[in-house]
Amino acid sequence: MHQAAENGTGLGHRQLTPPRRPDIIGRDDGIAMTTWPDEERELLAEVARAAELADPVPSEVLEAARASLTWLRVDAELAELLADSESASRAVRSEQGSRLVSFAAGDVAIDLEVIAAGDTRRLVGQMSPAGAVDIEIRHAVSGSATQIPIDDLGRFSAEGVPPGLISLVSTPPGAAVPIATTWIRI
Amino acid sequence: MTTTPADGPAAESSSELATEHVAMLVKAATGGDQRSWDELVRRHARLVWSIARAHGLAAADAADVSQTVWLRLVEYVGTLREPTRLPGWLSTAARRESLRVLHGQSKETLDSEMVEHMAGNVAESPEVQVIAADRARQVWAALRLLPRNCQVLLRALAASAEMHYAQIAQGLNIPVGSIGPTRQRCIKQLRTALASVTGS
Repeated sequence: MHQAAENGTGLGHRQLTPPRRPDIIGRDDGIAMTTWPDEERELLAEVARAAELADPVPSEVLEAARASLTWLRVDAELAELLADSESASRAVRSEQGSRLVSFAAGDVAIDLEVIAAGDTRRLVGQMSPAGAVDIEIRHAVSGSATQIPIDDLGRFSAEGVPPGLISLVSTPPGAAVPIATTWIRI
Repeated sequence: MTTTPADGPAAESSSELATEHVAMLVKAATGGDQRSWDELVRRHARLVWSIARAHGLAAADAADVSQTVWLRLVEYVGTLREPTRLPGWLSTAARRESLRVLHGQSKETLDSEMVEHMAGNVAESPEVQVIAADRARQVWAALRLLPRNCQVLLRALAASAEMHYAQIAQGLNIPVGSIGPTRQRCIKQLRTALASVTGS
């Protein structure tokens, strides 16, 4: 709130403010927030009611959002997406070709090839440096997590993976914590 | 427990308490507390969903966007430097994922789908609600006449609390300097569209 400063002389000091300037009610991270005119607020409330009636959030969407927390790995380091041959993940579904995806966390890299095979996907990957024993494929829609063995050269593969969001988790050789890749839609 | 149905935009009071509460919920969720996470979802699921839908995505694609956004939040929740900026973070993520999906698809199925949904809801409603529904249908029809960016902004604002307006607008890639004018322009366009829809 703006408040007129008292000047201590006993004379009220009236602050000059532009006539139509809305009251500043608070700050939202550096940006002055202003109150909205009542009719704007009412109109937005009507938009909210209309959206609630015409396009409510489906219960299964809420359920999936709530279930996301089960994938929290506080111990894991995040492996970010470095490259993706299909920036639009949907494109891979309509083509028979494969998609190449790379993740990295520090010196650890995971390269993954996603091959469309009918209704499912084949995954062929390599983790470097080699030496990890296995890698876990986490599948968000089914809620499943599958352990896949890794060979001496760091290679792994999985057949029949259903489409959807997946993330890979593995502990590199000598590492204290596992790495978990960011989620990608295959 | 948080079994109350979704509340209107005014449900979250614009007090500092609410802001601090979000920070506490985020902190607890970071430690794996499911109830805190559920509360975060309850408060913000509509924001994410609305942004995806207002981008013109069909329900199945908007569901994909929503799931991706919430999984991303699980990844990053422990590293959020400013938990109180969660609505802005979610807006950014929802917008990006929506654009990603949008670029990979060809056809919109949104319109027919939404009309059906509206018709279904109206048919079930008692008489009093039909009148409200008629008004809602007019507002909805007017909204759909607006440019996409206005639809996204207004639906996002309607799905959230007024106090988060600035960070949501920023999350939707509206330059800081034009946040106010953009909202006013979109509101004005909605009024004009509403007048044409209602014939007044």
